Amino acid sequence: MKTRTLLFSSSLAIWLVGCLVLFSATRWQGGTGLLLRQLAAGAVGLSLGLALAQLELKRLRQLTWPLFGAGLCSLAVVLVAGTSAKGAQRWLSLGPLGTIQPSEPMKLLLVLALAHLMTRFPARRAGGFLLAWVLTGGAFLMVAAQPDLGTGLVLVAVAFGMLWVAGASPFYLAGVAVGGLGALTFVLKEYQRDRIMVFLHPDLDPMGQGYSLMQSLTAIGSGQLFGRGLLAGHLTQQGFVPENWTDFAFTVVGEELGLAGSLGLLLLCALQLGSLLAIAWRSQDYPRLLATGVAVMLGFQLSVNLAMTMGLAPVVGIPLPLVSYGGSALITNLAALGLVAGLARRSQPRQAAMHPLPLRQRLPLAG
Amino acid sequence: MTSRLRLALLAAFALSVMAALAARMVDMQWRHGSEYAAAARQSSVVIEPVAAPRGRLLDRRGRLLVSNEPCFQLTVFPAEMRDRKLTARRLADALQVKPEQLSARLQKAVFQAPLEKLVLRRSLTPGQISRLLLVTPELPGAAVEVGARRRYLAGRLAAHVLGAMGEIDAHELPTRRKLGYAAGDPMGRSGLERQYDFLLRGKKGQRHLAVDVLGRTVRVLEVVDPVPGADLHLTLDTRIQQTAQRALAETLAELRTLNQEESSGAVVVMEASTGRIRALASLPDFDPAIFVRGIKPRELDALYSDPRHPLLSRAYQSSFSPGSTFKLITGSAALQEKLCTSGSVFVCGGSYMGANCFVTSGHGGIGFVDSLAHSCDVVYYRLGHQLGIDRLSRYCAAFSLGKPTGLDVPAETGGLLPTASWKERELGEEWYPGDTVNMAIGQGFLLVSPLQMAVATAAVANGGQVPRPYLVEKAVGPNGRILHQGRPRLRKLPVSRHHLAAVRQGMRGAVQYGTGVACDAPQVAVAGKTGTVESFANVSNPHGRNHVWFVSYAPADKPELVVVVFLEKSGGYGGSLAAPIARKVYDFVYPP
Repeated sequence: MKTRTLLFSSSLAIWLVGCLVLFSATRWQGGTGLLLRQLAAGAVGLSLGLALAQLELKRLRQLTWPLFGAGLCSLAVVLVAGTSAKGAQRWLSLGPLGTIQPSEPMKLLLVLALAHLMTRFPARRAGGFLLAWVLTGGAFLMVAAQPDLGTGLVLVAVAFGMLWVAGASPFYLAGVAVGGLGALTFVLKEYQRDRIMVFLHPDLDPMGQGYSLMQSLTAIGSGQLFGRGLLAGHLTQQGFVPENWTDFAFTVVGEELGLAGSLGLLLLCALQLGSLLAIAWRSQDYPRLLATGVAVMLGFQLSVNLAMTMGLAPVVGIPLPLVSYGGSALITNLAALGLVAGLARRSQPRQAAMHPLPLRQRLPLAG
Repeated sequence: MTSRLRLALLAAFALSVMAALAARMVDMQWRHGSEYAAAARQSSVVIEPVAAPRGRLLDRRGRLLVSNEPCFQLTVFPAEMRDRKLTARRLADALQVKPEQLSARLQKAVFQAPLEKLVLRRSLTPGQISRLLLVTPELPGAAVEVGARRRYLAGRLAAHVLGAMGEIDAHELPTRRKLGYAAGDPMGRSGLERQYDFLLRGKKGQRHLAVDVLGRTVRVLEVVDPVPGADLHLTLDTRIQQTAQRALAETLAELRTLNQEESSGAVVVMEASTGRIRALASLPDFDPAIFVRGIKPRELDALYSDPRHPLLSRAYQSSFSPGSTFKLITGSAALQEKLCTSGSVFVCGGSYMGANCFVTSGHGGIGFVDSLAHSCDVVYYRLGHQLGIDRLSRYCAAFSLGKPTGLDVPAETGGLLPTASWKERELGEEWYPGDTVNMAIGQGFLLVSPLQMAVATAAVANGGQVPRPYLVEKAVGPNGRILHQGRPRLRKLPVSRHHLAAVRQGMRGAVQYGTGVACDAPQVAVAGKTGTVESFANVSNPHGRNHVWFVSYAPADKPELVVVVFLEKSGGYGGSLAAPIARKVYDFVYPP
């Protein structure tokens, strides 16, 4: 099977699981409004992905700085005029089109910007290394100020992964890691510190911060081997798991589809990440860094999200890519996947040249 | 290190993270899956208790004394509450109480029973309701709901007997949980409300609700209807109780102007042959309604620190020296022990063994019957001395003195029945003959409650049956089933009938021509015995005022009712103060 076919089919399957989860998680509230909006966002994301797959890399590199600048600007606007929810200011209103969350596209924009930067200023030199962190730090601060620590952590993880593959000194990276952790303890908001305390002692506050986690653990565990069946989860169907259509979406898989479904989803994710890394393996320089960045972006969110719903990591607001509800995230992720699928095409010029079919038909991925 | 090697290491790292996640899934869903499944079943269903209507209290003629009325109450569902401090502050503002009080209760509820609805405040006032309705819409979990509270149709009538309501005490909760009590449940605090709480409270119903994460009801899964509590049909007669309470109150009011000091008192009216209590009055009393509308700490403090102890029933929760009314027991014992006969004639010289007769000049020659009628102390000094403490104590116990009579109320006093060994144990002194002499006329160590004296008087009146007094005739469940039936329980007194007849003759004489003529009603033949307890001045009785007694029954030839009157620190004499109160009761029951 061709790598990009694998990437396409695994991603599509994960997205389908996401739609089922969303349907199941919001059914008790009545209405399918969220599902329809998610499908619409999916259509937008697929189109964007398709377009990016076709885009010349040269053109993409030309667009990188304007896009990154626009991303930073939108983050700045969010801080000034954003919509608040749950104590954070993360959304921008687009009038009738709904709201967007500019921190989501920022993840992909940072991948683009870092890849572009690192091919100009090698990361193995101190100058390039520093420049990369200036970019990342800027984006991180804008996001963390909302405050949205989860997305900020994704940005930092992306930078780490790309710098590592770009050849940055392990000592520099270790230094940044230690310094960053130290600084983090100062800037953590009270609720963020609470979350970490709750992670360490979940029974400390069973009705507050700990409640989400306890309900999440209970839902996932109660799925047992084969789950309670789709739309039949006891806790899911009665709205007992908070946020189970966004950050805690995995609880629906865990409860309704059981261990079989959970491992299946994990396998799909592994295939998706594997194909992303395989494409990176076969590419060079800029495309390799792009593929690596997208792989880290998705892999980090996936791992942290699953770990947090299963009580292995503190509850930070990181969604499960392609599964959690959220239009901005879905569009960003589909666009990123389309971009890398386009790289796959370019990294296999021999196969592409041998192919008799026109380009459009050879790209079932379309994004 | 090449870029590809670094990429391979990154892939390996990703793979190990995946493996760890897979291992966690296996651990949670396979190895511990059944435990989580059990937890899942519990957390989704909220069991909301449905309060059962509390049983009512009715008098012997079916007149309602205590029933229920709707009231507004403030409830909080802890799991739904978002911001505890804010909720406590806003609710406290509306209730006009200190936020700390509410905050502490809310915090406890959140941790101990987050899915149990908590009644934060019962019996809201109109002002509180209107202020609460302004803030509760903004406070998730808080609501003003309709509840029920006790309604006292007879006001303060027989307040001690009927009892006050409150919430279950924290220290009682552990033992009562298995009986179905939950924190914050209303519960009788005293009197019949407490004694028969298990019948009155009924059985709470339940609504099993499937509830979502916000505490909103998704659907009602199961409803178990509550079982209303049983109605208590009492032996009390409202009108006799009213008469007794009013007569007592009038006398106490007179004494207040006379003595410039508060006195207290009790009246017991009991059926002589069965022990059915017709009236059990005690003053000062309290208004049971203040407990229902949420007593303020200041009011409760005032009730507790009041030196007259208005929460205690003088009739069965306090004990006093019986004074000369005790001569019934000394006399009966002396006759039974053949120390004298009903025809014996004694000589009273005014004193015996250094103790004076209350007629200090002496009664001269006096027969047994007249010794009771005129309450000659010397005769009973002598008889008591001859009996000795052991026999005297034995007869006291036989007359049900010095131990609870078994009335169906909580916290009945036993009084104090002294014996020679008691005195050595408690006071480290041997029992002197003088102690017996003193006790023979009801002074000294012996302490009895007015109710105990009523039981002893009934035994004399009915010819030797010691009744166990009772207040509840029957408890009728919601389906008409009788859940409890009060039955007279009589114990044989070891004194033969003709000896008791002599004592009765003396009591009749006391009313006809002796110390108790104040109770000589023309329409009914009353028999009685006065008592005056001389008290030394002490802290609680600074003027050393007498306690006075009058024990009686009527009609003399066929006793129906026993009436016992007791006044504490009244001064005066039993014949002058207590007997007229009994007379008012007899005048009401046997109208002229």
